[in-house]
Amino acid sequence: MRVAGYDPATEPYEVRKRLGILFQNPENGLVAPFVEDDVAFGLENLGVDREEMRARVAEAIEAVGLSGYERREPHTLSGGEKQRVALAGLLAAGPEILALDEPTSMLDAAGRREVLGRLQALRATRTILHATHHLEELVDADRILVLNGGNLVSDVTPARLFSDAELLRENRLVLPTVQRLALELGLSPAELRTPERLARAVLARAARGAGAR
Amino acid sequence: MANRGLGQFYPASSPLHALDPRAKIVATAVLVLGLFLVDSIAGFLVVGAALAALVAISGIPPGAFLRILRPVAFIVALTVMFQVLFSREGATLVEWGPLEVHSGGLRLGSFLALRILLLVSAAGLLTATTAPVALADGLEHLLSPLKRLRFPAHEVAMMMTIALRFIPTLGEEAEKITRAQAARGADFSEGGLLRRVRALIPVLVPLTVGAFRRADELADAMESRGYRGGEGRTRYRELRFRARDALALALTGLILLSGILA
Repeated sequence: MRVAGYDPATEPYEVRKRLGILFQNPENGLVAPFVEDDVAFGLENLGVDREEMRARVAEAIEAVGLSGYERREPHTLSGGEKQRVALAGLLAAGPEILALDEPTSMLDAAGRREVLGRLQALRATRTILHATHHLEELVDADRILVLNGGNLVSDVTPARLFSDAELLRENRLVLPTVQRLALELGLSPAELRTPERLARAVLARAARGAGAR
Repeated sequence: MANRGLGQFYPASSPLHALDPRAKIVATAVLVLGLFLVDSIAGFLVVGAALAALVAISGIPPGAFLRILRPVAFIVALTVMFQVLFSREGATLVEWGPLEVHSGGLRLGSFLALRILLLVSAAGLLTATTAPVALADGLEHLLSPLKRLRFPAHEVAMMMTIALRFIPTLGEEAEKITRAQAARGADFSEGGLLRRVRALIPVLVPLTVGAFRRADELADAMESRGYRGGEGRTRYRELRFRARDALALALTGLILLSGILA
């Protein structure tokens, strides 16, 4: 196996420079007693000098929407905020690939929205590998790899997966509410990613129906 | 945390808070060691007055500072009592049955009490005016020359930092477990000492297990973020030794010297 061209077994440090991992539980991933020190931790390890470190820490904290939190202590933050601090720590170090290990599974609804919103904004900037049980977190993905019992079952686009009822059933995957509703209404679940788009499609159809009558 | 005890940081903006932690650590160490050379009431008064002035400068309310000293009051009282009652030096002042109080004992006892009080005050002033993180940073810098003797200065500082990060977290977890056990009918407030200690076991076991799990995850997270020890590592936090820090050290030396000579 190779990550960004390096073998993790023989060159772990090269891999760690290029791969940032966001873990399930943000509580145990934060090292320093203050937010800004924690965000700087990865940069300190890389040996980045202080001036550049300051700029990159400020930028990363800004990118996750936590400006003003620099001197807060992690135990005073909510789960979503902690996960965003962890994310800022990864972003500051500037990895090519972000691997997310169920980053929202230990968060409440508000925390999930915060973290997913920030991740959404990062999609264009680098490769993101997102492991999750929630299909709605993957509606915008380029590729979905379905794993079952440790085996790769399929490598498809979200559109294909959402319209393949058998594949979903075999892997005990549940369609997100919006897509399920679209399917039940006889609309294409793959194209209607957001509740807004679904609503618009339903309105359009209602208008057509009214016109036909 | 409402009750401030020994070693508690007291945030304020004062000239003492602004000093380089290294200067404060060295000054405190010098003062603590030097106190053993002070050997007269006048000397203790000089050092005591200087410390009182420093407390006034530090912006810590005197009442709060005295509370820092409270935990050691018992130890001080005990040592003084032993010195006064069991020393047989000097002229006999009071004789009451088997109890005798000699002038030498009184002198030694009061010196010892003053020494402990001033020592704790100096240390308390250091921790009250220096944020724990700054303290850890300062110690790492000061201990780093010992790296050549294979002393793990960076590791010690990293341990302190992690401990500071996780103390509140583990405190919250202990509280949560205590409540969970209380909800299952555990009783922590009744019975003798032995029963109460035994009641703590169902709290300590999950807390310890949880701490090990945390440590595991933390180690994974640190490694994945490229941590490989102190070698080649830069620091985000900057310590600057300025003129005022040199001045503070000189002043400490002066106070101590006049205390010893007085």
